[in-house]
Amino acid sequence: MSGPTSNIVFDDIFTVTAIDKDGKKFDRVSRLFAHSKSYDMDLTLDFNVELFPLRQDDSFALALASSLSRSGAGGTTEDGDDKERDVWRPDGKGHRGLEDEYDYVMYGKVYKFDGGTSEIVTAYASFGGLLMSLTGSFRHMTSIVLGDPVYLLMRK
Amino acid sequence: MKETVLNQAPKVIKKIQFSLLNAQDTVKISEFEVTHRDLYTATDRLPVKDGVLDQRLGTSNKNAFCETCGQNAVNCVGHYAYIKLIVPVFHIGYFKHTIAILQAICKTCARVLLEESDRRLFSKRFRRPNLENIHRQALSKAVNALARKTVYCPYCSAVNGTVKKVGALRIVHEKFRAKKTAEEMRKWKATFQNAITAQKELGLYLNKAVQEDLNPLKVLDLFRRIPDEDCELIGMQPRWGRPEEFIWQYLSVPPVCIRPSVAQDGASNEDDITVKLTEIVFTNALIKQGLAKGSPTPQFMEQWEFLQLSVAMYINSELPGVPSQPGQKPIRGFVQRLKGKQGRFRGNLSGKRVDFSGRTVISPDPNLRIDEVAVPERVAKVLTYPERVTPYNIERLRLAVRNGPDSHPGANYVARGDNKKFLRFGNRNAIADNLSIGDVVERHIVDGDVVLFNRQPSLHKLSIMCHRAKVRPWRTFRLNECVCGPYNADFDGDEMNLHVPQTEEARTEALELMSVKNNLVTPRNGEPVIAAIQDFITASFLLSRKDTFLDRRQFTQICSYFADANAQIDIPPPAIWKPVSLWTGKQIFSVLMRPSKGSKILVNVESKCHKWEEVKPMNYHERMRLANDLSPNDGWLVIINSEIMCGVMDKATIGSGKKKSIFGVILRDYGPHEAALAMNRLAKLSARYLANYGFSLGISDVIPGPELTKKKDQLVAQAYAECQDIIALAKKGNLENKPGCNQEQTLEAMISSVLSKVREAVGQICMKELSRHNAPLIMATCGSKGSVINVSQMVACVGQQIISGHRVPDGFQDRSLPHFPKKSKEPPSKGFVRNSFYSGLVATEFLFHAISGREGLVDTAVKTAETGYMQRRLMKALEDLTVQYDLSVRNSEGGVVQFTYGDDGLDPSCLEGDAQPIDLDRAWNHIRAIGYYSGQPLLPYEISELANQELSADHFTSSCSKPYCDAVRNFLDSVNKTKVTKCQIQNFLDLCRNKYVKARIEPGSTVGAIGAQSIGEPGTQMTLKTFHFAGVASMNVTLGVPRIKEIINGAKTISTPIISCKLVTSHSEASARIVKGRLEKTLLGDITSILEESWAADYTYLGIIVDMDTVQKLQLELTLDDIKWAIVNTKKLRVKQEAITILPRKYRLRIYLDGPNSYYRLRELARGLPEVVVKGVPMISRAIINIKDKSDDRGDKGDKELLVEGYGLQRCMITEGVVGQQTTSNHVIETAQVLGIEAARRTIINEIQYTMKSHDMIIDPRHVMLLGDVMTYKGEVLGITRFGVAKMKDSVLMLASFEKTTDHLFDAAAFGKADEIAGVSESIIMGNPATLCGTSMPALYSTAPLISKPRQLLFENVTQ
Repeated sequence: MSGPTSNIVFDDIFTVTAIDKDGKKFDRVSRLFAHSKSYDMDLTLDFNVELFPLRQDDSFALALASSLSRSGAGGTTEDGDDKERDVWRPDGKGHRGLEDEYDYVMYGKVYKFDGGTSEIVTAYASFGGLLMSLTGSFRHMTSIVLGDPVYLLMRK
Repeated sequence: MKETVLNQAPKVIKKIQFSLLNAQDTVKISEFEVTHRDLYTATDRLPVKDGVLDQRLGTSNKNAFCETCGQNAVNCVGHYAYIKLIVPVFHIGYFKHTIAILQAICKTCARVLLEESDRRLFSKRFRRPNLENIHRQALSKAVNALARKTVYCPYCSAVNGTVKKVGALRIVHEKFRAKKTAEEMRKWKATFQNAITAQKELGLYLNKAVQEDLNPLKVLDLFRRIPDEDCELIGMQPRWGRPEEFIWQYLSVPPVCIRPSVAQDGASNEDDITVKLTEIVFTNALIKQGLAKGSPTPQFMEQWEFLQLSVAMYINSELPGVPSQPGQKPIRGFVQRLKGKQGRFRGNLSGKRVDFSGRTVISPDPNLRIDEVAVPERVAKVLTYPERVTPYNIERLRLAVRNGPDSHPGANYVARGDNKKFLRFGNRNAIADNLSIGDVVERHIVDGDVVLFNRQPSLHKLSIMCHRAKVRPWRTFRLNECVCGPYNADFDGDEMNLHVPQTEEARTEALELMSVKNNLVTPRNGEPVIAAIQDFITASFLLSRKDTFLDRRQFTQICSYFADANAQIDIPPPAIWKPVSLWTGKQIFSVLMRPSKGSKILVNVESKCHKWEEVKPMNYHERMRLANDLSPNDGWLVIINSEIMCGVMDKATIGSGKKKSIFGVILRDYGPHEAALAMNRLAKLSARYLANYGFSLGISDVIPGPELTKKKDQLVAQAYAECQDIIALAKKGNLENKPGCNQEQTLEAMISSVLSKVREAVGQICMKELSRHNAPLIMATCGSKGSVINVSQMVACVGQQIISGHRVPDGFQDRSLPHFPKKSKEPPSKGFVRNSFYSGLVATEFLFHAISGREGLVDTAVKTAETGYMQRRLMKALEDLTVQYDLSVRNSEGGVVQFTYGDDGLDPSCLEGDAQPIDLDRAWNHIRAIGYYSGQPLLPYEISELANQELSADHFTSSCSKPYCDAVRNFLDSVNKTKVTKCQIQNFLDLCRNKYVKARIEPGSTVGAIGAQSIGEPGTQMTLKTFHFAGVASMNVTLGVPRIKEIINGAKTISTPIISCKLVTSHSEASARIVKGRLEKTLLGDITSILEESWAADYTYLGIIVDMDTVQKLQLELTLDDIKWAIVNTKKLRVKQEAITILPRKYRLRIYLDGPNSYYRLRELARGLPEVVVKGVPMISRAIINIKDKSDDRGDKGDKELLVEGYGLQRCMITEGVVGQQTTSNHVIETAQVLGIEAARRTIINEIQYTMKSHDMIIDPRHVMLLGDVMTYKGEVLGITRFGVAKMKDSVLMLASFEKTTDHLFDAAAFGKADEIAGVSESIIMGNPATLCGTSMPALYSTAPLISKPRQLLFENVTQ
């Protein structure tokens, strides 16, 4: 995990344990089940198989970021996080940042925390309907804020 | 020119007093006496003077003028004449009353046959002030009952017998009917002794003469002698009519205009009434002649009878007892004119023809707003609205006048005062130039005009709604498909009606109360009815599926579908940034709900979609607490701040019938306007997207794949084999019977369950095996049209055909069709169709399918008629119930039906959660999501404190009920309270309060009418599926329309009376059996092994050998003594207790017989004994031990309870082993008898709700409560039938417009009733606005004060 100044709120390497355990329901979207050794996290993620094909036992790096700007400090220079987050340029021009280092980037929102008082919590995020659930110790997810927009970045 | 303010308000009929038309009045209103029978003169074909068509009565001829008033046929109101009858005749309408009076009076002195004490008692009762009609009638009935029993008149001591009707129109008095009058009869007969000796033949007729013939003359004489005081006692009010007026002496001849002659090529065709009148005049003249000449009595009597009959037919041509001539068309008497659906009351008075209306075929147009209706231009040119000219619209109206009637935004008439000009002719430009302020222009309908749109059958208030007109070319009315739901319209040729309100008041009222936007939800239960349907759902589903990805071009294109390039739309960031920017279909809907950042619409909702697959925990890591969101088929909808997190758009989320659908939520949180806007966007989006997508269904969609065919064949074969096994088992007799079933029923039940499982399984395979792009499958999944069963019927297997709840019955001897072996029970021979519609049905299958199809058609036809009548009755019974300013519900007479509407005074159509004003969970999440994060999060105790403080504050306690406040408080105590700010709590509480205040019922609401519609309308949608499983096999309960009918009729005998008894020891099967034995009827035959006859020289007996083994097994608590007494107590057998001896050790009883005929006596006993009830309740046919399948307040799941079929609630309740307090019956009347009226009310409510629920119809409990209260508030259970309604309502006109029209009218006249014109029906008939309901509730109650003429001031003269 990066330091407090970084925009990256979560970062880990996962190994795909299974894909579409419930049966394949959609043509272009699959649900992967993955586990990370380092933080002992469990991940389920809906992803576009055409854009980012993954198979069982593949490993990938996954990061969650609150912004695509490279450093946390960058946020302050561009008059506040709030404004910067929602700005996007349809032509892809403008601010270039974290996404350069990854192959697959999604934008969405963390909308639910589940777990209550126990040690293990689950965070749910939705990227335009593509769901992600991330389960593990709450210690690793302290920077993930409920209701905030979030970028999901993946790289093989 | 300004119209002067009216100083005389228009006349309003406030009351109608019914009375009899007496002879004086008849003559007084007449112009002349009719004496001539001919209609026209032979020479010049003009109406004969003093004939029934005399021109002084008015004229029906367009060219002639009335000789009385000189007006033409259109303006003359008509004048009366009279016929003086030479002999009086009975009035057929009052015939029943005449008999009743004759029964009550002395046939000698004409006093009412009451002792002085009774007379005083009844007089006092009759003179009570404000006596209701119904009580008056009950009293006169009581007088009649008392008086007809009196034999000797208390005043003149004369003998009185029974008075009865003989034949159609004769009354006889059997004077010496009573046995104790034998002496008088002898004396009376003795008076004839002299005559008989003189003329022997008379003796033969003497016995006949005992029956005194009460002819009209005699009756008239009697009636005249009845004193006024006695009139009161027979229910009449001398002020409004005396008994002698019941008898015709003068016949009024009505004006010609109500019986017009129709001239047809030379000959004229006369009305039935005219014909009958000439007949009466003729017969009358004959009698007159006969009397003058002294014709023989028999001839006179014959003519009198004929006159009597003619006069009767003139009033009512359908006399019971008078045979109608076959081949001849029955004439239309006055009664026939009033009666029936097309009669005056229902056809002309309760429903009137209107102007400014149109009707044409409808067609869909998704580009219209939901509150618009496209009106064809040619319709718009005919329908007009009278608009008054003001400085603001004068230019527009000038243009309209110039355009005239033939080009569209034109006008048809211009009116200035009473002067109305048609614009087709004349100089329109001149008129336009002269147009001045204050004129009224009847201009064409233009865009935005308020119109009412309606489709029959108008079963509920949503069947007529207010739209905005949109004038378009072509010839159909067009509406947005979303609005099909409430009208129940489709576009297969349906026609609809359009009305244009003609005043500003009417428009405003229509717009406020009836507009589409204000009727998005049904008042039945508060669920949306106007929502996306069919293709809209399909398109939304396709678009919102998880794997719909759109690039920027596609996304923006689709977003532009929302509107007509007239709205600001902000594109959200793409869901996938890299490798390419892609948006998902769900984001489209996020934009749809909240098109731009400026929009304040933040939707927060979480609900189940149409098809929700549960998350399988084994697929996920065990330490995860699984949320529903992870549903594998995306079947759980979560929307946070108008962003769709997961879930698809389908029937449940954008369709009708779900409160938690998107439109339902927008409606509740942001009002109908925003919901309508979102719906408009969705309609446009869906129609445009789907047209581009090309959704279509072809033969390839119904071809099963090889895998599917194989699996299906396998399943069917397997099921066939299984059925064979069961049949084989049954043949050997090894099949174990199901509780309460015999062998055959068990077999049928088992086979049916196997076969229905097959269809289920095949359906599941279809869902799995068919392609994801299969059109029928998509439609079934998203719920837009069709079900899984429909898909599998097309693709795989049609399945079992059911006819009235069973497999196809035998139409031939022992078999359904000659294609099968006799007595075959195999699936194919009893209607199982293994083929699909695609593969084609074989001949037998086709026939079975047709049989079942026919049944469906017949059902629908029967159902519509039945529910229509039910709806009409409900409406008539409940129409006048309204909420008053004190929130009580009262009828038009002010009788209280409920003290608070629905016990809480809330409006069902404003309720959100489960019959509550707010869905607390959703409201909480909504408030948490939309913001107000600023400020310090509160600690739990601070939250409680804040909540308590707010909830006990004045603005809360004064507007919300205590239970509601408690519910809110409890909710806040139980909810997750992390990171809650003060602002959020405050907002939440404000929301709770606002929603409650909004949900309170408005005074003036016509809750009765709405309740009646809410119960009647779903009835039409019920499939006439009569039976339903209630836990135990074979314990079928009547459901559906027949059951609802039973309940609201207050039927004495119902088809399946069931008493459910809670048992004291509910877990033990053995004790349940014992209780069952106590209740269930056991016959002697059931427990007897042998009935033996014994014949010996000196004794004869019938021996009964009781099978004690069976008695033991059945757990009957029965001794031989009990059996003996049971036999003795069976009256029919006539067995004396001495005749029975008991042999206890042998378990035998012997009935000794002696005397002659003992053989026949013995045979009789042998036949009768097995039927003797030795144990249990005779009215109970059987009892079944039921194991509860779910827990409720009467016990847990798995508890045993006893279901008893039959009557006898009281006996069940007092039976040992039954918990009496928790024993219920589904029989309303029985409950009322045993437990009282409140229990009956509860039963009505519960039973209606249960029946509706089992058809998946949810009705707000308040409507049902109101119905329950209406049926019980008089203290007895009144059915919603003509008898019950007559007891509930006092109004003559209302009852006359319901059923038995003329009976009520004649009654009203006879008893001098008055109608206060207070209810809805009466007001409609009189043309008054219905008082005390709806918008006419706030009225000026004090009469206009009398203001004296202003005093002239001194200086006023100076100025002039």
